[in-house]
Amino acid sequence: MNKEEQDLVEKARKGESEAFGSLYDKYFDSIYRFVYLKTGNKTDAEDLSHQVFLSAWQKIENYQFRGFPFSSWLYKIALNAVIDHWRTRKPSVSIDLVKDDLLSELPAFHEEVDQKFSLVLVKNAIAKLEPDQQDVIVMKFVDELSNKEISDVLGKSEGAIRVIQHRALRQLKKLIEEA
Amino acid sequence: MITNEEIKKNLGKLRIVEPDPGFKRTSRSLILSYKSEKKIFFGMPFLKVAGAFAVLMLVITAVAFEFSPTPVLSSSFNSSSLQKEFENLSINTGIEEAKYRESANQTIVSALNEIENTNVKHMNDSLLRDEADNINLDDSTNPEIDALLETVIF
Repeated sequence: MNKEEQDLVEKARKGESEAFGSLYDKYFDSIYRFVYLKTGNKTDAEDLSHQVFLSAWQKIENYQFRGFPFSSWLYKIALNAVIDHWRTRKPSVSIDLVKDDLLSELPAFHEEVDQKFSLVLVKNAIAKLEPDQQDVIVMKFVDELSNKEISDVLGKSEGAIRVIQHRALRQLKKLIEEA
Repeated sequence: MITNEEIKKNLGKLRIVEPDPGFKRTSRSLILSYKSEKKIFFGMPFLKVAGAFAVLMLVITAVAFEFSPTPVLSSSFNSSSLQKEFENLSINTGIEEAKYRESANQTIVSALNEIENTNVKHMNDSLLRDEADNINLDDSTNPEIDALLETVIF
């Protein structure tokens, strides 16, 4: 965590909403993306991301600096929110069948259609991975977190993260090729 | 054949996933307003003053009890003296009860003796029978009573 972010967190802990607003601006997209790729649903991603930041704002007094970026704490909250989401609400529709896919709504998506395989295919393949493999793949290759940060979020060793990452890539490749 | 590098490259392209700007704005203001409301209530100056005053009063009261020069006040909160007081109270209550029971027993014994003793004048059977015979229940006027009443009135 850099000095600037540390100052923001300190101010937010003292109740300065503007400081938390800056942290929100910095991390909301990443958390939203993580939740979206885990749930595969735009509405759920919006609801859960909102909950994550609301919960963070409510409990920021309890936040303890442990040498990791503030985002690690947010990812942990997000992970628990997604787990609770699946625990309380079983998916009634397969992610493959979801028509209102956010990716196809994005203008940037249409610039990428000439590539070897589509982003929707990648997203759907991610959805078929084991939960811990999804976490590692999204945090490592989409949100570009370091192995150390990922290990902190998931509570596993860096070695374990490398093993999960290797297996996840192999599985992902297999799923994309089969599709 | 897809390589790992191609997969990683495409995974990186998923960064195009972004929330709707309108939703993001609304969510932000809702979240930040949550604590502001809380802060407005608990941050009210009069509540702060009231809280500080209450704490001050508690401290003063605690100090007054702790260093009070009046022995009555301090002893009333002294646990050992309270214990002694309680023990004395129990003993006194026991003595009072014993005294009462003793006097009550004596009264009962003397009453029973009196009932059993028929030699006493007012309990003698033959005397009581004679008195009953002398009373004329049919006579509505008793000259003796009339004479006594006249003496009292005049």
